[in-house]
Amino acid sequence: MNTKIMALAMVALMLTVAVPATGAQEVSWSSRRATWLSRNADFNTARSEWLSAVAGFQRARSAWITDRSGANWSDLQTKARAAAAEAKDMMLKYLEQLKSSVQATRGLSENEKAPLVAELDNYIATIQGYSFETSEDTGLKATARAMWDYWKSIRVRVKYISARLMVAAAEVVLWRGQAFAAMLEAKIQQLKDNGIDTTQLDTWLASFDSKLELAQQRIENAKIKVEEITDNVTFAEIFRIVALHVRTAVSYLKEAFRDLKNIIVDMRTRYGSVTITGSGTLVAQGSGSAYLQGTGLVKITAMENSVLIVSSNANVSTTGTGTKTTLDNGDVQYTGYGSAKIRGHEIWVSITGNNIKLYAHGRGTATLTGTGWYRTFGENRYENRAWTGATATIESGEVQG
Amino acid sequence: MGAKQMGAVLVIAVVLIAVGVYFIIRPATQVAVTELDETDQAISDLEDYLDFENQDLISGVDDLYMDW
Repeated sequence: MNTKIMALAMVALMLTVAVPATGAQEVSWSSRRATWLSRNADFNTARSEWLSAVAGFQRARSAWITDRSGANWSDLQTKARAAAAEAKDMMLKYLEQLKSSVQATRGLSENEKAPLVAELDNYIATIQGYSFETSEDTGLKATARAMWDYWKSIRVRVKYISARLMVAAAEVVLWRGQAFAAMLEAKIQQLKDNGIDTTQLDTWLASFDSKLELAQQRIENAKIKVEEITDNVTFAEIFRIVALHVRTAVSYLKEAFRDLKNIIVDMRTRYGSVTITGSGTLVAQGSGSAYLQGTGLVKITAMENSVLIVSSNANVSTTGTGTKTTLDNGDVQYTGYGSAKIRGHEIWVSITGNNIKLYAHGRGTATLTGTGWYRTFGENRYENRAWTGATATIESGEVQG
Repeated sequence: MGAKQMGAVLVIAVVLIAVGVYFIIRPATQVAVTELDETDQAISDLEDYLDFENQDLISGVDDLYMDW
């Protein structure tokens, strides 16, 4: 009997260990990514077939130039038709993979994706309309020319979309990193409040922040350049510059995430449980009022002519000069400062004024009313909204109402 | 208690200790890695995409209507 009980206890223990390891992850994003990988593989196959078909066409053309026999002419036409069909297929597969890439990216909200997908669908439909069934060489040449001219007319937009995706993808990683860091900052603040020396952690976090800062600068530069992809002459060069900025940003992000991993392991080893999941980022710019509550970090980079009030338990650092007043109920009011960083556990932040620019990292809610825009980078959703008074959940990225 | 029973108890004790040790070391290693897996994957995907788009993928189609 005892042996049976022991065996059951062992099985129960083993299951406890195995279940978290096989826990289901979010399906939607991974399936979108799988579709993109599949479309990308389809394109690579189509491109190989195009290269093979065009090599066949070139051989047939050489044979025809050397020996203008009826058989060679017929073979040349067959090979030209096959190559043209493969070129069409390659273009379609390229556009399909780009479309699935737009759908898979987390950096763009659904309302930003919709017009891009519609635009790509339009290009796909037009290219599908080119037919190479004709038996006349003049018709075949004319159709191939028309299809290539059409490609030239859309390639600037195609490159623009592709560049925008790169920047969006880099931005997501940046904001996820900031969200994780905010949770660590809140934990460090808690340790400090409990009298624990956090000098080493502060140094690491500052190094992590500076790398993210460098990545952010590169992403901002890339963002500006993307909007310059507008004409058929300079688009390739500008695209190259965008890609270079993003590549540099990626190298900073990789370094930052290596640091982050070390910080987390160290904190867990020393202080036990440290949670970084369940965190997100909200970026906002506008005039009116913003009310945020939760755990993490709120950075206000523009707050002139604004009134900032924070809960008494928040840790605040400011730049510039201004007036700090402790109100009767213990809340603290700041006016006139250039920027502010507010961090802590279960805090609230209220700001009213014009041309406010803020970043909220961590978990909690944000309600923004007035005129302006905000973006959420959460674990479930990426929204792009106006300051309508709706409440956004920072960790999930979802907006109610 | 016979030798067989002693052996069984010993095996169970060893297994239980191993499971216990696993639980103790797990938070510091496995969790820290898995939580950042998604961003690691996103960075890797972005690098692949940069390499992919860095090539002149669609070219040479004009060859089809010239000079034949």
